[in-house]
Amino acid sequence: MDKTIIIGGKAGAGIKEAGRMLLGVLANLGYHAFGYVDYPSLIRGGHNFVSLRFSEKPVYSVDKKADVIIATDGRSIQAHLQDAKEDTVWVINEKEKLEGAIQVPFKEVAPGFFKSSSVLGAVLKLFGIPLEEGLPFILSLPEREKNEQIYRDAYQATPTVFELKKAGERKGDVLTGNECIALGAVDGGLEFYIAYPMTPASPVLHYLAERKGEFGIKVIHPENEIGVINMAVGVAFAGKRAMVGTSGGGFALMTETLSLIGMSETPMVIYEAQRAGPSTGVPTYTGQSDLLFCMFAGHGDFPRVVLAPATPEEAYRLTRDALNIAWKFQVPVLILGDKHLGESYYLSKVRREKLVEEPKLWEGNGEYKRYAVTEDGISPLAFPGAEGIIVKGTSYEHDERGITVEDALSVKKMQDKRLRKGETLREYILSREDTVAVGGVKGSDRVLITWGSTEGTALDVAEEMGFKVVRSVFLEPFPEERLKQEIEGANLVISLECSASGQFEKLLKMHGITPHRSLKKYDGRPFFRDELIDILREV
Amino acid sequence: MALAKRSLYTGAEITWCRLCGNFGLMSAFAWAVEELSESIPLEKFVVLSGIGCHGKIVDYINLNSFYSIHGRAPATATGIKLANPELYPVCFVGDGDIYAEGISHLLFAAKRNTDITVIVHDNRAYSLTTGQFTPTSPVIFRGKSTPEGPPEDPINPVALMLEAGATFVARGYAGYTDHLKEIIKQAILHKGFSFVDVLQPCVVFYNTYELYNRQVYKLESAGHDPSSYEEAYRRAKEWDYNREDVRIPIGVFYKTDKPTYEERV
Repeated sequence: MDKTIIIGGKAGAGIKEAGRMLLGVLANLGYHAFGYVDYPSLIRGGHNFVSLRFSEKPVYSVDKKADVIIATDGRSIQAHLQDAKEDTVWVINEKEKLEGAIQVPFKEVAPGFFKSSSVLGAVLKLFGIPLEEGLPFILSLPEREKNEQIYRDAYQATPTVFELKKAGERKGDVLTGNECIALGAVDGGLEFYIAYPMTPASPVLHYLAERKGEFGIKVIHPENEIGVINMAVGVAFAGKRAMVGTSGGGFALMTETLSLIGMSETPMVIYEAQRAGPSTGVPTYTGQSDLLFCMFAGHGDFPRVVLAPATPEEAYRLTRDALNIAWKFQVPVLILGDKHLGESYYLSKVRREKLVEEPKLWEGNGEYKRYAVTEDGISPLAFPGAEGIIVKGTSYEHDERGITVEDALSVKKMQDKRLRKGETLREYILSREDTVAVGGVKGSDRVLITWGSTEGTALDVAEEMGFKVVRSVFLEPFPEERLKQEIEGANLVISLECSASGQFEKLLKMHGITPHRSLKKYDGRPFFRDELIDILREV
Repeated sequence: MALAKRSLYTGAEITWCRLCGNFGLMSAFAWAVEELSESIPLEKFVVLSGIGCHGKIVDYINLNSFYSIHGRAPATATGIKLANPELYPVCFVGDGDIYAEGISHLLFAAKRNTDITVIVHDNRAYSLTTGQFTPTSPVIFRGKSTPEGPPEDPINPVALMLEAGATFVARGYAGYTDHLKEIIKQAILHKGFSFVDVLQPCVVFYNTYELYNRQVYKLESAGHDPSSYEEAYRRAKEWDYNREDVRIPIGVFYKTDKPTYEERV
């Protein structure tokens, strides 16, 4: 069984929660499932929906056209008429009218609150899932008695249309990319998470703030993104691991300090969760159009790492690595995510394991020089407060001690040191196994080349359409050779990205890779599976 | 105490102009640190700076330092203090640096009562950029960007910091180094956010030595009680950074105790 279910309703009506609970039930029944969350930038009212797809096979995307549409209010009926197929089963609120639709009492426990229990009751009955499967989720809600009653009422009122059988063992837990970014950071030795609220990165701030005691970390919310990143610089200079999180507009404010990080060689991890831009753009929707900005942000030359996870497992692992890479090379590491990865629901098996690698520390002989010139370009670290040494960090061009210099010889010498460090970093990154991910029909001569969360839809169409899927996991340093090897001999290479100007395609071209075709989506929504299949049929 | 035997100066060539107020300020600080080193090990100090003539002080002072960027030093210092509460971060900032570009960080450092010290080299001119008006320049200041004088009035940082919640608010004068030294010592020892606006003449673009020598008076000689917020505010309003015909109080305006940011987060 492979179905897409849309659940729609007002913001504040528990639509996201209903989706997450339903995903939990499907997970317990052994299905693979994925949930796309769609909500406008408002607090109460409007129209939210969650689109879920589940199947016996792995799923990382949803269809645009749904098999089941649950409309908890009148607006949801209107909004999703365009998403219906001829045989779509509609489940609507008893107060609304639509020909052929099943009417169910979508009740709230309190005015404006939680229709989630009634939605869960209706969907479970629709698919013939025993009532007990939903109960653990209902009983974990506040006002459990009221919630249980309306859950039972909705279950009772709904006919069974589909027969869903248990599909096997549980495939994983319901997780978002943002939760895994947070967990990865903690397991990479995070000591300070510093952020100013900005969708779609804020869930990381909230998740860590709620668990700071459990994780033994500090979570700080300063005055603005400039305060955020400069505070984080202070934390790292004093020897503690810090990460900051933001979206494009916030990162724009941080770019002045990105250069400071490059010059002062401060270890730093920056999570940039892309929304649809430019400027304020579409704050609660997704995009991949900050790619080139992140690659080139900041003034002057300095080495950096830009990496982009595509799944929660990878978000976990790469964020953990990001902290270690930042400290090993004393560089900024940018984790480029997006709303789609950050806030979608995935079934995921993340195995947590703490991994904190020791950076190159000063061994304590002679005078300490913060910017000692070394062969690999990496100067040993020491921190202020240690007895008998002086640590001078600086934004200015400097000598080995960290004292300002401006003469030509010294300027070049330090630039050369940083270049050498960049080369050491490049060798390290490009020798990793995971710079490029390959999936789909691996022997195919037709290739979809992509990056970030867009891989999900590509993988979901690959088998049916006969495509190999090649993804650049690291974007800087760019794994040019690996990508070239993977597409060698291909008759058709199509780049796939959520950017209007084709930023990824430009990056590929910069490195001598010219795709035959380029597919771009830039309406704030990810590629939907059925939509991509239709597009690829025409190619 | 291994560092105590070393000079407090790095030996880097000092590029400030002859008679610049920065010399008096730096001497007062070095002298304060020397006296404080009886109780605070030198390696526990971290000096920070912003960008401008003042910023060079971190190159000259032989202590841990972070040469930050324009206006951001208090944010960086807050991070340092959060990461290692045993350290004593002291920010040297300029008036253009901190009252313009960095005003939000300054206000929030005061609001939070983060346990750092901010010392403003207030020469009331952008000097390294060759003479433009700053947030504390008087309306008679003829700068390169405002040849007729600034079309806006100066702010009063002492009153501003009192309003923002700073728990130690003082003004010093770089011409009176012994007096300034005592203020700096108190500021560093104060647990909580310490703010010192230092009148620091720029001999090239705004030479105010004569004005300050004539108008300055010491709060402690006037019987000022620094524990009273109302009194502090009244004294802060005596001079508006604009007029040249009123007396200018220097010394500690206000001092109180409150939990620090580091204790609260």
